[in-house]
Amino acid sequence: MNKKIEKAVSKAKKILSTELTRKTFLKTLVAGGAFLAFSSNTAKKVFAQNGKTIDPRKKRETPIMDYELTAVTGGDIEKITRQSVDLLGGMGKFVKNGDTVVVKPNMGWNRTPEYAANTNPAVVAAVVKMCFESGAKTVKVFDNTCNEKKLCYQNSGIMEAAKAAGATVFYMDDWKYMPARFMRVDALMQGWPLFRDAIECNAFINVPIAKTHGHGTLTLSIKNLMGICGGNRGQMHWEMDKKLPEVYDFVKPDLNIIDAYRILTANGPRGGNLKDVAMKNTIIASSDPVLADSYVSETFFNIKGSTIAHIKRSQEYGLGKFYSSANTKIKIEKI
Amino acid sequence: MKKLKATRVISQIFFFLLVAAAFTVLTFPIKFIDTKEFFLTSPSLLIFSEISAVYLTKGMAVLLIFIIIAFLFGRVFCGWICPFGAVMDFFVFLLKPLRKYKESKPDKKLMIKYYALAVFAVLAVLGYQFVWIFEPITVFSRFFHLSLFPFFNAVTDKFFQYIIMNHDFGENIYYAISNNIFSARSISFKYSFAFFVLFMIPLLAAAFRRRFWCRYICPLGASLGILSVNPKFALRKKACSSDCGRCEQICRSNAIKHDGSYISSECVMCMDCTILKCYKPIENKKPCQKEIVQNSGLCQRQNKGISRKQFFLWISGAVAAIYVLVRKAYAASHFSKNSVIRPPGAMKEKEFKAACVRCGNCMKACITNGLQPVMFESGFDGIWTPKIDNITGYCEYNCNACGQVCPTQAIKALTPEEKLKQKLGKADIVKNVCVPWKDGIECLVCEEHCPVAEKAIKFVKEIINGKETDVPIVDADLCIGCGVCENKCPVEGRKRGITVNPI
Ligand code: SF4
Ligand code: SF4
Repeated sequence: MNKKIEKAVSKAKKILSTELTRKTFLKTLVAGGAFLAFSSNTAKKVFAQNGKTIDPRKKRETPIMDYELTAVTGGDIEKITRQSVDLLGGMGKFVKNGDTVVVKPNMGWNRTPEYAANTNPAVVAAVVKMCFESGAKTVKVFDNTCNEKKLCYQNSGIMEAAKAAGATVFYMDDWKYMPARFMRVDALMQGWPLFRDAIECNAFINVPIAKTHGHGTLTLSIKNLMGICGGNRGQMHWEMDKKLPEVYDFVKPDLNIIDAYRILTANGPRGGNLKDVAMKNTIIASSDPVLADSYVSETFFNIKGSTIAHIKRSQEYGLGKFYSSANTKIKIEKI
Repeated sequence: MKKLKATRVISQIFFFLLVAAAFTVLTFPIKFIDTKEFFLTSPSLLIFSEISAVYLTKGMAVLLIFIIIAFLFGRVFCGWICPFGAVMDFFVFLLKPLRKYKESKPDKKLMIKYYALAVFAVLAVLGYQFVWIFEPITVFSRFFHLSLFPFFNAVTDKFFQYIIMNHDFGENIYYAISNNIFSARSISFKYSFAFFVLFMIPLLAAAFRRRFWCRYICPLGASLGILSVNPKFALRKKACSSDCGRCEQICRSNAIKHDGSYISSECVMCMDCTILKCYKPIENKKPCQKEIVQNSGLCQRQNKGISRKQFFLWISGAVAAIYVLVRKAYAASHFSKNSVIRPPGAMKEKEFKAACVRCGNCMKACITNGLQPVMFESGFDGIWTPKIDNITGYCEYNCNACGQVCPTQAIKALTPEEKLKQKLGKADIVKNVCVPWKDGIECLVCEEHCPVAEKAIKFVKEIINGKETDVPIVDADLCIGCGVCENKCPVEGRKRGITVNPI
């Protein structure tokens, strides 16, 4: 043992004492320079996760709830958010002690809250607080933004609000995406990179904002999950109606809380014109995305849910049922 | 006087660390320091860029302080403050075993840097600014921003990615570092290797001559040298009768002559010679001693009237000034089209190329990594000026970072409101690439991303392949040319369905 150490020491001494010759020096310099120049590109390749894929999220049994959908209207955002979840049966139904929870708002745009392009920070904060009250260990908040991450996180006000509520807020860096392995072989999204943290969690709470998207269609809870996809997201727009239900099914959110406090009625999803913003002061909660989305589109945008391609596909896919005032157990409240 | 020498070394380390730290944290949002200050220390940089682009900045006031320092104490900036000088001195220390060289006297090549400076001055009058090639502060910052930092950023990223993904550890540390120091994405730049080489050459040269760069090339050193021909406080030699010559050999700038006198415009005040006891540090000396007049060859203190040389200098100065003003008037009346997409608030093409010192500040601060150095797209005088490359990034609607950090104001510091109205270019649909126009597939990504409230991209119905499709068109009046549409266009490769062209 001792001899080994001695040997190593003498070797090190030898290396250190060899005089720095011009040649070796130049060599190291050139090597270093080349490394410097190509590092960012090569490093990406070297450290790329080879062959690792990610499987669909394992969701807990959907608990029996008092209502299928709740819609609470009022002036105090935190109150109505809490009430909407409490009427369903409380956050405790979805979040258990020691859970890692993902709260996924829409903060894709570099806009302040009054433009209704991003989920209201107060809603996100209220949801985060409720998760902690139900015993969550960590609550993660993130979104793959369309504009520059830093600006979206800051200007949407969500970073600050969620952090104050105790959540861990971080950027979705490229390297944390993994190719998804869909169970259906014909899935269009087969192999698409999805965000690891969104899949590896105990509970997933989807917190979208209600707004228009393009001409006529809406972005609600199903569309909100685009924010966990990586890759060339623009290409998801090609045959988007078929791709969205697949992603939703892959993630299987436990609960959707739609922020309709302010809604964007035109020029979505980015907005930018205060004229297009309408106050509805409502929060909708449901664990059935088709139900929630069709309810919101019918009540706030006057569009039948079944006419929106991706919602219709989701229903066909088996994600839920359409809203109809006759046979939906719904609770509407004003506070 | 070992103490003085030690103080100098400490000062060098301090300023180096200060500059390095400030450069490192320079990302959007701009924090307490925007690093502009460092560039205002250089007379050659500021004056030449302002002459060649004909404008005046407030930075000149800061510059005055450094000019006064040079008048009083000589080239202390070079020896005590310059971060590039500090790195060079460190290399001299590293390369000591390689150096088998004795100072030869007299060294005529010392004048090279003054000739080079004169060439740069003439070019500046003609409207071309090339000092940036050798200006130490920009060489340093260019290397730091565009070569070293991306490397540092990538290595830290990869290191943490590796341990987070494989050992589930270090996530919090990583986010603390990346959120506070790095830009939100890992940045990379074209031509990183060239910046590295440009930085290494002077350092390697230090193996053969100490402070090789400062002696023969540095335009900043030359401009300070002119100012410190006859500084108020300077070193003074005690009477010396021996012929040991140690002072000659010890001087890193080759400033000490064989007779013991020294050239103050070459001395960087490093204080090495003060350990010899026959040199005394800083003393108030009488103005323009005779020997200095002869030795430096630059001190023009004669009591006669105007000499022929002076007369010639004055005349050529006046001609140059008139020429510069004429050029300015001409430029104001002529519209020059941009060759590439310039950052928001940039000067007009020709002036921009002249005013930009290629320091890389804007490119480092750019939040989307969209600002990239160009090579020859904008002519030989536009090498390494920034352009917005809409494939790597785009100009973020609410961001005005680049103007905030531009030391020469080649990019104007815009207020957020002004920035929103900047027109950078104009988007055009490429109909044989755009998916709806070509194949009739629905796609609305560009419209979705357009930041203009009224949407500069509109949809019209058009029959494509016998099918009615919504196809995008651009409203030229509303389009601000931010390039987000081109950046987000899902068509892969560098040819997108919509491109922004310079105006
Ligand atoms: S004379 Fe030379 S050694 Fe002495 S202070 Fe000046 S540069 Fe340094
Ligand atoms: S080019 Fe645009 S995004 Fe980049 S720093 Fe300048 S203002 Fe910001």
